[in-house]
Amino acid sequence: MLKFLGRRAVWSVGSLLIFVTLTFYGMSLLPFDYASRFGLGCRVCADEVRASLGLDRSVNEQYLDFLGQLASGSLGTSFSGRPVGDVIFGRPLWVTVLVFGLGAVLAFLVGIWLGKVASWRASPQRKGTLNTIAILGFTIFPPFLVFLLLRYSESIMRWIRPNVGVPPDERHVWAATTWTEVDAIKLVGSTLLIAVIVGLIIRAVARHYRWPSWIGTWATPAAIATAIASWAIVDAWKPALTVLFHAPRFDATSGAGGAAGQGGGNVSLALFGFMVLAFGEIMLVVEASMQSERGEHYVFTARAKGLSDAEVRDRHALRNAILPALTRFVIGLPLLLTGLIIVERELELPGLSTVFLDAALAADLPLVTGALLLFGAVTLGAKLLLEVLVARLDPRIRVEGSTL
Amino acid sequence: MTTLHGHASVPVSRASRLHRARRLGKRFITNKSAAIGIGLLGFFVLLSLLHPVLMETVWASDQMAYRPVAGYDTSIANHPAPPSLRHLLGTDTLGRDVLSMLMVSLRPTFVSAMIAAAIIGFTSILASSAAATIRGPVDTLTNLVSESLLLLPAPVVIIVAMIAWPPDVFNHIHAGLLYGFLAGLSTATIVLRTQALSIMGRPFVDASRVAGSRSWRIIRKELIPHLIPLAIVQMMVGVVGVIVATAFAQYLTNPDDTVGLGTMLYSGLTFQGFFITTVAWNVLLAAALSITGLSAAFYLIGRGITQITDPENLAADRETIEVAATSA
Repeated sequence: MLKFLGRRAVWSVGSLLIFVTLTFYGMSLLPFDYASRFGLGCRVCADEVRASLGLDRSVNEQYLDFLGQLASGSLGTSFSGRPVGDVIFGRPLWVTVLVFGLGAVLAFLVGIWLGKVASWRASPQRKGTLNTIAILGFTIFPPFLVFLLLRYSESIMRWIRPNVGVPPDERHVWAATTWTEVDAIKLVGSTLLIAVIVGLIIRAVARHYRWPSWIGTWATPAAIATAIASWAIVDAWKPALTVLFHAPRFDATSGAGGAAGQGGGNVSLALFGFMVLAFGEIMLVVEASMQSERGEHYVFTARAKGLSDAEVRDRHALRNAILPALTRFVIGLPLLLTGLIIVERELELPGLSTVFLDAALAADLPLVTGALLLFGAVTLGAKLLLEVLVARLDPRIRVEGSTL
Repeated sequence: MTTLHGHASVPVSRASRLHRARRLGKRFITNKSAAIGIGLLGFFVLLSLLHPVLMETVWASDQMAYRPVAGYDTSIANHPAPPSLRHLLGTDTLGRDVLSMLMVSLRPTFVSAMIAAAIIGFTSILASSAAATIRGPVDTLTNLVSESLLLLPAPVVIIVAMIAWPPDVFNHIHAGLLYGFLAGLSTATIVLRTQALSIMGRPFVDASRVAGSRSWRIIRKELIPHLIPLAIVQMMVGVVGVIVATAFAQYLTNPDDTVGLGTMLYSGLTFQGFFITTVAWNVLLAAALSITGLSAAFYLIGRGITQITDPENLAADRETIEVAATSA
C-alpha cells in the first residue's frame, strides 16, 4: 500500500512539474506582459515596472527562479504585490469550494439518482425525457444558462434575495451580515456531515433491530432535510443563507447579469448552474453502466434469492455502476473547470476561476501558475483517492504489489 | 486480417468485409442517438452551406438586407424585428438578418470542430499506437505527458488565447489546431492507450506475430482498426469543448467586423437602448440553440458509435442472428 502510494506520489509530482512547465512557457508566448498591460502606453514606465518585477530577465531565468521558490514551499508573490498563497487561499478558494465542491457533490448525487431512475424499469417516455434533459444540461451554452437562471429565478427568489428591486425597509432579516463564505461553509459542511452521520447511525440501528425498512431508507434524507431547514430556523445560522442567496457585487453593466438588468454574485445560482452543467454526463454513464449490470449473473442470483427489486438495484447493481461514473467524474474534473470559469465570470462571483481568468488576462504569471497548480494538485489528489477507492470497492481490481 | 473485434485471426474476403461494413452501417443508422445526431448535424451543415446559394437566387434582388456583417434592412423601421416571411428569424439590433448571420457563423464553427476532430483522432491513434507497440520509455513518456495535459483543460487554453490575441493572429483555425493537439494528447490518448495495450496482449496479435507479421503490419492491420471506433467517439465528444470555448471567447471579446455564434449571443443579450433594457430573443435563441444543437449532434453521434461498437451489443446481435439462422 505504502509502496503504491509512494510510486503514485512521485508520478504525480512529475505530472505537476510538466504541467507547470507547459503553463509557464505557454504564458510567456502571450502577446503582452504584466508591465505592458499596466504601462498605460508609457514605454519608460512599462520598462521600469518590468525591471522591478524581474520580467526583463529571460524566460528560462524566470522559470528557474520560480522552481526555486516552489522548492522552498512558496508560490511566490503576485505581480500586484500580494503573496500568491494569500490571494488564492483566501476568500476566492472558499467561494470556489462552495460552488465547485458542493456543486460537484450534488451533481454527482443527482446524476446517480437520475441514472438509476432512467435505467431500471423506466418507461421509454421517462427514459427519453431524462436522457434529453441530461444531454441538454451537458451541451447547453453556459452563458445562456446563467442568463435563464437570472431571468427566471428573480420572481422565485425575491423573498430570499433582499437586494434586488426591494426597498431597504422591506428587505428580509438576512439582508445584513458580516458572515463570509468561510463561515457559511463551516456551518453548511458541519451540519451536513453531522446529518449524514446521524442518518447512517439510525439506518444501522434500524437494520440491527429489524425496524420497518422505511426508517432505514428515509433516515439520511430526513436528517439532511432537517439540517437544511435548521439554517432557516435557527437565528444564529440565518447569515449562512444570506451568503448563499445574497448578491454581494451588483453590476448591471456586464455579462448576462447586466443584460438581464439584475445582480450577479449569487452563490446559490452559481451552485445550481454548475450542477446543471455537471450532472448530465454522470447520469448518462450511470444509466449505461446500470443497463449492462442488469444482465449480469449476480443480479439473477440476487433475484432468485428473493431480494426485492429495490434491494437488487441499490445494493447490488448500483454499487458496481457507480465506479465507472466516479472514474469519469474525476478524470473530467479539469474540464468541469471550464464550466466553473464561465459560471463564476457570468455571475460576477469572486471565486478562484475568476481570479485565474483575470490573472491570465493581466499576464500575472505567478498567480496563474499558483491557481493552476492548486487545480492540478486537487485533480491528482482526487485521482489517487479514486484509485485507492476503486481497489477497495471492486474485488476484481487489485493494485499490483499491495494488499489494498 | 481479423474480424473487427478480434475473435479469430482468419482471412476475411472482400465480400465479407463489405457485408460487415453494410451491417455496421445499418446498425448505425437504426441507432436512435446516431440517427438524431446525424439529422441535427446534416441540418446545420446544410444551413452553413446555403447562404451563398440564397444570396445568388432568392435574395439576389436585395442583397444588402441579407449581408451577415454589414447588412441593413431599410424597409423595416424598428430593429430588432420579430420573425417574418422576409426575415425568417427576424433582424438583430443593427438591422441585420439573423438567419444570414447564423448561416455564416456556423461555417467557422464547423471548420474549427472538423480540424479539432481530425487532430484529436490522428494524435491519439499515433501516440497510443506508439506507446503500446514500443512500450518502455515511450509508453512512460506518453502516459506522463497525457496525464499532465489532462490537468490543463483545452477549452480554458482556447478561451485565454482567443481573448489574448486579435482574430487576425489567433482565429478559429488556430483554435481548432491547438484544441485538437491538447485534447488529443490528453483525454483521447489516455482512453486509446488503455485500449491499445489491451489489444496488443490479445491472442490474435500473438498469432499474427507468430505468422511473421512485422510491427508496422500489426499496427496497420490489427491495432488501428480496433482503435478507430473509440477514436471517433473521442473526436465527437471532444469537439463539444471547442464549440463552447470559441463561442464563449467570442462572446467575451465581441470582435468587430466578424459574426460568430458567441458574438450573436452577446448582441442578443446586450440590446439596451435609451431607457430600454430588453433582450433580443430571436438573436439570443438562434445562437444559443445552435450551439446546444451542434454540441448535442456531435455528442449523440459519439454516443451512437459507442452503443453500436459495444462488444455486449455485438454479442447480443450475433446471438440474434444465430437464433434466427437456427430457427430458419
